[in-house]
Amino acid sequence: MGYQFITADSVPHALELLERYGRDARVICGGTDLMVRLHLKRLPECVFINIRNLEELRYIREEDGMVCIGAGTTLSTLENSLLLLGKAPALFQAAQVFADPNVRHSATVGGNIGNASPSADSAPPLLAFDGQVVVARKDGRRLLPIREFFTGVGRTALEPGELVTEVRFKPNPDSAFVKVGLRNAMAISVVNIAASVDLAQDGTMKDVRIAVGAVAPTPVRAVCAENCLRGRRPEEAVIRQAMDAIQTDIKPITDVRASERYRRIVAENMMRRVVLKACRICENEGGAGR
Amino acid sequence: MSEKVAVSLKINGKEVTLLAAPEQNLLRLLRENGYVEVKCGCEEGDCGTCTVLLDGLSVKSCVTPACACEGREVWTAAGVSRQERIGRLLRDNFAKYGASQCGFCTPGMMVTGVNYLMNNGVPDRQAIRAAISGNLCRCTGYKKIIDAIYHTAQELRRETAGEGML
Amino acid sequence: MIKKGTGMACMFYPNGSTGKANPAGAFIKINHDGTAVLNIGATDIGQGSNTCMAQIAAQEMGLKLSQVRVVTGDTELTPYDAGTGACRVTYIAGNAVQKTARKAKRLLLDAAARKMGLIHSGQLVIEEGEIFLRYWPAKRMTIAEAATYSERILGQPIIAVDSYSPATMPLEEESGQGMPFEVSIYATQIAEVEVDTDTGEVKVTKLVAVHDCGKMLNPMLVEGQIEGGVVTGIGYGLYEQIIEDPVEGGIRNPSLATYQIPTSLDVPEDMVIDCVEIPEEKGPYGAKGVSEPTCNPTAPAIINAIYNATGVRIRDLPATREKVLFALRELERKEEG
Repeated sequence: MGYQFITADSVPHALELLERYGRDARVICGGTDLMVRLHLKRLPECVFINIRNLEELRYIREEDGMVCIGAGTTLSTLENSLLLLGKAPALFQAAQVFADPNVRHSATVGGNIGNASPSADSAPPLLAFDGQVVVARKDGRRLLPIREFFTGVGRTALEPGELVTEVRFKPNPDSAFVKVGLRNAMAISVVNIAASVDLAQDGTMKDVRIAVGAVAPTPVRAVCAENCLRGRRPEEAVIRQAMDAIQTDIKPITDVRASERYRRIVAENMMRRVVLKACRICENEGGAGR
Repeated sequence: MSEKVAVSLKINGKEVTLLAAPEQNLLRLLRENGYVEVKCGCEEGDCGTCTVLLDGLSVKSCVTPACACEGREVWTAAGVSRQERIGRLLRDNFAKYGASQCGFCTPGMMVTGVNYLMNNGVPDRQAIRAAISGNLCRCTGYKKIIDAIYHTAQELRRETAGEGML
Repeated sequence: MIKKGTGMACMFYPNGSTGKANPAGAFIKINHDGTAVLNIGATDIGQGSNTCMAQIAAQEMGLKLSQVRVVTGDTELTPYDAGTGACRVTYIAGNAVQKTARKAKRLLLDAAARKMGLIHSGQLVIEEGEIFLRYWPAKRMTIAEAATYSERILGQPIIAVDSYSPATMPLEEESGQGMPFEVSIYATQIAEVEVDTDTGEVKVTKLVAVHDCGKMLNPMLVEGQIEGGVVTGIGYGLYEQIIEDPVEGGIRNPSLATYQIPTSLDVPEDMVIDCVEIPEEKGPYGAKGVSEPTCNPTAPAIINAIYNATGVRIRDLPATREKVLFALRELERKEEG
């Protein structure tokens, strides 16, 4: 049959096309992932449903204390958003180190999570904010916690006919992101990690959420590490415990970029760094995630 | 290859209608139609030499679907370098400061540089360094490319300041 | 934690192939409009040798740079050249061009002398497209006129051919004695690094490169070549490796996404490039090569800087973040117990 390329002119039109083509359909927007897979001949024949023209999917706004980001919003929009800079620095920082500036002009939030790469840079901040994914289909829409969105390498909980239209989360200015790749631009993360901390007056962490990528088949929440930190102050001994605990949260593999052992050590060290950064205790200027 | 469809777009200021396959990238579409100043490097979104302006933003044409460019505006390195004043000035400064050695990265660097200057034009070496971080260069060491963009930004800024005084 | 350190490395490097003939050939013709065509086997791969060779020819023949056209890169048209490599183009092809241009100039001056009624051309000077008598500059003619006269009246078109191969001697197998190269070049580089002990990341914060290339024929090109070499050296020292698949065979990172070369954010903002100019008497206008070994001292300087910063000695390149981090752990373990 060959490939087909259909440009949707509205969200309802896109949903109709998605329903019509079912499993053959593939949503494309920026194209920065799919075009590479096409070139490498790793993308079976399909019907591209192009949503690049849907301006209604490009926004960052605040509604009832939630930050809502349209799925078609580019990473370069995120890295230039004063709203995110002030209220959700973890996502802002992730956007700043995502791929490179020219890719960020095309790549979108919806594409980055929809592609479900274990190392997707926008995923850990969204997980740390305990965000939700707004999923539309022809006969309605549903809200999916982002924790349930990723199901495996390149796999999501989306059903045929469904489209991610928005991600939303309760922002937290006490949040941060750290990325370690093999170089400082155009790097695929070897470990990326985000933390969002609710600080009490006395400096204890009432709540803390940590999410880490590239160390398991999907980006994951570091629940064991969180448990060590919750209700305590970000002190050396406490963080040491959490560093040990994060080892049970992750399940890294060895690949062409890094070994399992490297990922384990770096995940530990970066957990410390990201928590301190979220608590605004900067012990370390100049390292990764600067 | 799948059946081709007509794509109408504006390239370097001129309206054209070209035939593109659904799976084709913008890079191939441009080169097939004579815009060979857009260079093909890795075709995987890494090297950046195929960078073009798409609706005013610098993007890697090898990872841009050709069919998604319907109704959009594309500027190539050859197109922008003829434009007064940013393009020409930057082109001349590339020559003046030795920013092009083997030339492989030059078309992409030109377009990315123009995009930087269009958007803020601050003569700030660190900002320029970050702006071109998606364009690989193997032989200049980046310094002379940064010099060329930096001095262009400075000249443009001086002109703006001069106008302000009038 | 960030640890800072400084390291240095020095090198010498020959110009030309080891102990064997490696000639460069050149043709020159001067047209009756006063322009010249220089035909050389040496290929410009971006280092700017076409400019440099045209500079030598123009200087020698008293022409403007814009009046010399270079033909190169086509083995059907150009004379033999041993190739762009071994840091040999400026020195060896440069010498070939200078020798050839000198011959063309001799023909021109002889023709001019005939036209001016001189018996000897020894007092004729050639500059900026004109030929004149040294102590009577009003007595002059253009190169175009001299070339036309030579071609149309004397029946001698201005054409010249020559070549250059450095004088070398093969190395004696037993003792290793001989004369492998005619000239060598020298350099020292100093790197300043920051090592992130949590990730093993090495950031080169400053790099100073001081090179010897005899007389610089084109300072901007020399600088560009050293800057590019330094960044290649950073790649060699910190990033670039070909990863083979021991089971399946083949290369596991055959793309620019996985074979990582430095981006603009991986190179030091502070890069100081300088040259010590001591003219080489055997080189064209005192010049020697520069490009090829510019990347050689970079990696060892960085490795020494890592050692200086952390006490960790990396013995196989590249010093990837992983390698540095593991070495740091190893060192910690040793120190503890």
